[in-house]
Amino acid sequence: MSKIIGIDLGTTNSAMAVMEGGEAKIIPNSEGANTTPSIVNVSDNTVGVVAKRQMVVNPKQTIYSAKRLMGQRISSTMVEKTKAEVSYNIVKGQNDLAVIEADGKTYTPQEIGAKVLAKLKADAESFLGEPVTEAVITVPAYFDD
Amino acid sequence: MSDKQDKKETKQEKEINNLKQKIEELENRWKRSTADYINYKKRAEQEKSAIVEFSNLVLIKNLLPTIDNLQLASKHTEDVGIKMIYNQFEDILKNEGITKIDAINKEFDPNTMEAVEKEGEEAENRKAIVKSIVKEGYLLNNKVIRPAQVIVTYK
Repeated sequence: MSKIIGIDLGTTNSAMAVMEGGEAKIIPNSEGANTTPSIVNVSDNTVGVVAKRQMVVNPKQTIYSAKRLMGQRISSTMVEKTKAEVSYNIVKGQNDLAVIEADGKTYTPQEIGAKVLAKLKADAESFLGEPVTEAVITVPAYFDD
Repeated sequence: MSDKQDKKETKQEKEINNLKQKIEELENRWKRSTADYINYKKRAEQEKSAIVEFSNLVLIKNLLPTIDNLQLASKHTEDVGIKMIYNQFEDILKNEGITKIDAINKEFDPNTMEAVEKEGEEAENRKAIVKSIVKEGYLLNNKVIRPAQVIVTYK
């Protein structure tokens, strides 16, 4: 039975922990930090601090704050506000939901979130020395239907 | 066999099955705990080695802003004393095995550099090249202790 990790998939930063001896222990990422920026460069699939460092060079391909767009329609106030704040393109996707457009492709906010989770999973497996197949992920208080 | 005996045996069988389940559960827990202990021991040894290798890292990281200021000061003054003090700090870093990240005119690498400004726009046949360093980056045993903050241009 593999260990279950807890993940805080944050809008700006993410973190993960595991229960050890009855206490929650933060799992450091591969860069040695306790938190990982929730930032993805979709052109080379880098995630975290490495993606953050090249934001200025690739503003249209570096996706951040994607969690704000999850489940949101393109016409929603949250999406309008986010559009004004970010450097990448947000467009209308299926069912009028907001999606991210970069390098001629579209990405749902969930896909971006999945890339962050994949990095966290890989770092957790490297730290724990075993595969991780189950996780508990936090949900923000503002997530509605 | 009487009904009473049947009921007693069924009760006993149930108890035996419960106990077998309990044993299996405890065995699994014991195996899990043993594996956890082995992993914990491995990790503790790795952390111990890391402490030895990077023991001065926190102190050095805290000193870097001061060294940055001395570098800036030495660039903008003719005061020999300031330059000497800056050079002394540089020697200390070298003695600790800390090297500067060689960034000028190199292709931008987010593994060792952080772009704080860009000049011009990206284009398909042009690469992002480091034009100047805003803040020096440092490596210790090939591990980035601080990325170089750079201004990039496209060539």
